[in-house]
Amino acid sequence: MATVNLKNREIECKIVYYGPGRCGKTTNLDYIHRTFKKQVRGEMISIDTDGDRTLFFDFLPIGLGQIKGCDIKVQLYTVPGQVQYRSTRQLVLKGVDGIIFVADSLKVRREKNMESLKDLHENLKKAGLNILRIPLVMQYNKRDLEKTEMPLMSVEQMERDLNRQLRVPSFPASAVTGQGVGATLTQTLKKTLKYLHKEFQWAQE
Amino acid sequence: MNLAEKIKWKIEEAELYRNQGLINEALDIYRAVDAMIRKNSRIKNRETLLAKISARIDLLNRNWENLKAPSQAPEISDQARDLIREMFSFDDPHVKGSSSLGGAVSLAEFGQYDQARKELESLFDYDHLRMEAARNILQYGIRHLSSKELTLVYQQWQSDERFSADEIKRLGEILEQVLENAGRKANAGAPAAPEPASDGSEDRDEEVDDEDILDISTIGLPLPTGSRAGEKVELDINFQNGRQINLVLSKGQKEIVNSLETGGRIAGVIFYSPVAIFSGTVYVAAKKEIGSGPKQGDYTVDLKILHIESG
Ligand SMILES: Nc1nc2c(ncn2[C@@H]2O[C@H](COP(=O)(O)OP(=O)(O)O)[C@@H](O)[C@H]2O)c(=O)[nH]1
Ligand SMILES: [Mg+2]
Repeated sequence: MATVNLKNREIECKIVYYGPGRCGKTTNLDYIHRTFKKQVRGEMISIDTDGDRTLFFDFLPIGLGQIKGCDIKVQLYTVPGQVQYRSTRQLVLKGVDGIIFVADSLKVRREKNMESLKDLHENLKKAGLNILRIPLVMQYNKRDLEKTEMPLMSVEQMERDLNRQLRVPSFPASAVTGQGVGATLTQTLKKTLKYLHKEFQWAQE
Repeated sequence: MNLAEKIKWKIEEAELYRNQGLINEALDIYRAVDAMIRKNSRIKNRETLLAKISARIDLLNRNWENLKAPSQAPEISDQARDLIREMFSFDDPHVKGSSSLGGAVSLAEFGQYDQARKELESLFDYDHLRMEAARNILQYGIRHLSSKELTLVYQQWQSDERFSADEIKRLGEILEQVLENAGRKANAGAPAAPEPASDGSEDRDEEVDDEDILDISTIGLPLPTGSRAGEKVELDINFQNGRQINLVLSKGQKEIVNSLETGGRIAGVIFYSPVAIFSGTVYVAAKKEIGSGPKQGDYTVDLKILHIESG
């Protein structure tokens, strides 16, 4: 849960990038770190990354400045996608305010996307949160591969697989080129701040 | 596309997966290409190609083995350790010291057992945290200590006045449970700490035709007939293939089985999928008693989803 300090007019909230292994979560964070220099508040920390595999999590603190009279700080996290790090994911999800589900557009990863969404649902439930209620945005990543001949799912198919019932905002993206990365994050922040306003009435008109 | 082109294209695909760290996906394709070439004796450079591919397969296999190997508790810097402690400690305003507990447990979760244990032991002074702290020492301890060492930890508590007799008894039970769980795993031949990675594609299924049906985990079934008619029972799905779902019911649930008539339709069934709840109608396709095996005497029931209410 976000830290909301109405006296100092400060909000610090937590956004988690979730998704199967190798879908591009770390690459999203990398891109944000490199591109949104003005917003980045500190170093990107990848806690124990084994080769290129995130074992624990990545962390990047950013700041949005003043919004409606409040200073907004955001902590971005990624979870390790590999199936066996379930308890780590549960830990990283603690106190989450908004989620970006990064799905892999490669056809061979279709099932992994679905499994990971199910895992998210279950882990949220364990944390007393409801996937239908928490601010959630989908990202269909690796769309740059559309230009190649590689077997990719269509956005429509991914919508059917993952978003037919959730009906959350979704963005085609490429974390390597940066296409859609900012849009995904912006939309998530909007939803999250709106949600937090309902709870804490922090925004000044 | 002629064969040479096809092979070239397949190898490109495999290399993409390899570059993305999708080792199993890459392996699958290289194996398929290998088989393709072996079936064709007329391919140019056949032997060179086969040698190249088999070298790739070896490399990928080695990568895969490395990935599967349970990683050692990684060394992390003091700075990273502070960060973990700080980021994952959550103050429960009603429980003094709860953030210290959370922080220490996070350290344990991230492999920093020795440090975590020190911090957890320092919480023994607080009545309301002592048991949680001790429980976590045991539960995370099994990943890092031998059974003997862990038992020794427990034995030291027995002479520690801060623990009451009741607490010692309860911790003894927890220790037993922890050891038993670990023992069971060891017998099954699985590594004690991380489960084997299944990031690969060994469990890939046929694609389901029935696009519309989500994974259902549980159904809520209104019993159609019998003395409990109208009562809604929740049953776990044994397996599902698109619209077909199968349930296994125990002997004790015979009344439920009897209530379902083969060929009958049941409306108002609730389907619980991991991401949504929806309702619809099912058809009882078959039911029978299981005649042999560990589930002998239980019942299996096949249902078919006829339709789903929208909205
Ligand atoms: N072509 C392409 N590759 C990507 C994209 N995003 C990530 N990757 C690659 O996919 C692999 C895994 O990405 P990573 O960010 O480590 O995935 P994570 O496990 O979700 O953190 C890396 O090789 C990335 O370069 C993308 O948008 N397009
Ligand atoms: Mg990563």
